[in-house]
Amino acid sequence: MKRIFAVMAMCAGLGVVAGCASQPAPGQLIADPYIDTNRSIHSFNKGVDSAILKPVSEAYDFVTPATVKLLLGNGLDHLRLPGMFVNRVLQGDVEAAGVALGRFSVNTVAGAAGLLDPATEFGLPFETTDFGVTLATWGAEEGAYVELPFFGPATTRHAVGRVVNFALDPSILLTTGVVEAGTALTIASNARTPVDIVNARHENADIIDDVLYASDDSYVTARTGYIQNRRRLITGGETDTEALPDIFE
Amino acid sequence: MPRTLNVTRRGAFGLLAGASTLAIASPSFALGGSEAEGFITTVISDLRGLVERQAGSDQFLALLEQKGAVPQVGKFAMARNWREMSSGQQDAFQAAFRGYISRTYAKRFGDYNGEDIVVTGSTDAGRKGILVKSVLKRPNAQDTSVEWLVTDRLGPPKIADIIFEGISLSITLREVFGGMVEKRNGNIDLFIQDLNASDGA
Repeated sequence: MKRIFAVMAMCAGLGVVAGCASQPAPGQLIADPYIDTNRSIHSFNKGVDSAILKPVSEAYDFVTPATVKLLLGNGLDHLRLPGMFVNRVLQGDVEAAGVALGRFSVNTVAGAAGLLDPATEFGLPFETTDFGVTLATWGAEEGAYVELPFFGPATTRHAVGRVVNFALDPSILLTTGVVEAGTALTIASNARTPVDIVNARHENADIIDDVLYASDDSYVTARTGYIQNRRRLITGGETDTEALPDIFE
Repeated sequence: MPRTLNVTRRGAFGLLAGASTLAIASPSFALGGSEAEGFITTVISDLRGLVERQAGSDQFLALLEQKGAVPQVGKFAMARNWREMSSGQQDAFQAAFRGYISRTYAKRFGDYNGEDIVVTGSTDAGRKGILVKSVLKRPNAQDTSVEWLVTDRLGPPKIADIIFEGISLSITLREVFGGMVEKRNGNIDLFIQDLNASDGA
């Protein structure tokens, strides 16, 4: 486990771009040189999921009225918008930055501070992005597959992106005490991450249960699903014909 | 001395046969976008028919074998392991694979209630074929993108891959099978046995 962090730190230090490019072998979706470490982290994560995350999110699902779940889901998405706006600017995508900003303004004012979502009706949909995507648009190599404790599947590029993305989120100013806000707001800000995790587990319950508990090898299934999904996010939802399989090869 | 082309009846027949062989291989005769879109539209309506009749996995398999390049996808999914396998193992694998993939589809389309899948267009993917794009529309849920890679390298159009929201079935199978073989320390017979017992991906 220590080694993988050392590698990640090294990649971050090298700016990811040149240092840690690992090419997948032919007939392989992604290079996985740390597979042994990754597999132990995966069993750890799976243990955390079955012992804590899955029961908690199921309890949350059971006790929470559907309307509250919907409002909370909207609210959590809303809080991500400022960070997403920064990333869109860094990606040089003016139009998408405008959508994020417009969406944030509309839902703050007309959507009860983000609990409701009139913006989608106005043509300002939620389109997720993060600093890992920003790194990709800057030409950083995808790197190797790593599974992070608690966070789950990543590439070396996405792992670096996660750290920076956390720092880019304006709520860090509250959490770290740089900006003094009311106690209630600071508590709410600190509670956001665990609530976010439970909500995400709940919203994706079917697919997570399928991957973790209904597949022959949950490590491989999680890896292939994550990588393909992530690459699609980076191409902006378009399928890259280069990445299509050639079944006659 | 310039040679004149002396075309006999037998020669003409040979030329014709040669030309038609070339036509299969030549890209100028390749499958067009609208043809591929029409093919997928038919597949979708056949699929809807199966769902409406609540057909079992054997009927999914019949449709799949008729419209899909099933043995080629199976071989692709075995990747480098394919060449290590004896021909007996290859046959046993293909038999197990047919069962596995039809159970996968019966399961995947189990939640499908015949909602609209609308073909929205296609892209040329070169020698890999034509990628036909479609959208699965469900009430109270986001649209799901379903893409179909159609190849004509076997002659008539066949499905080489189905991509749900960016997740390619053929690539996923290749990764999953590779992992299964590795986990069984390369024991192909054990892998085939477990594939037979599995209820699909």
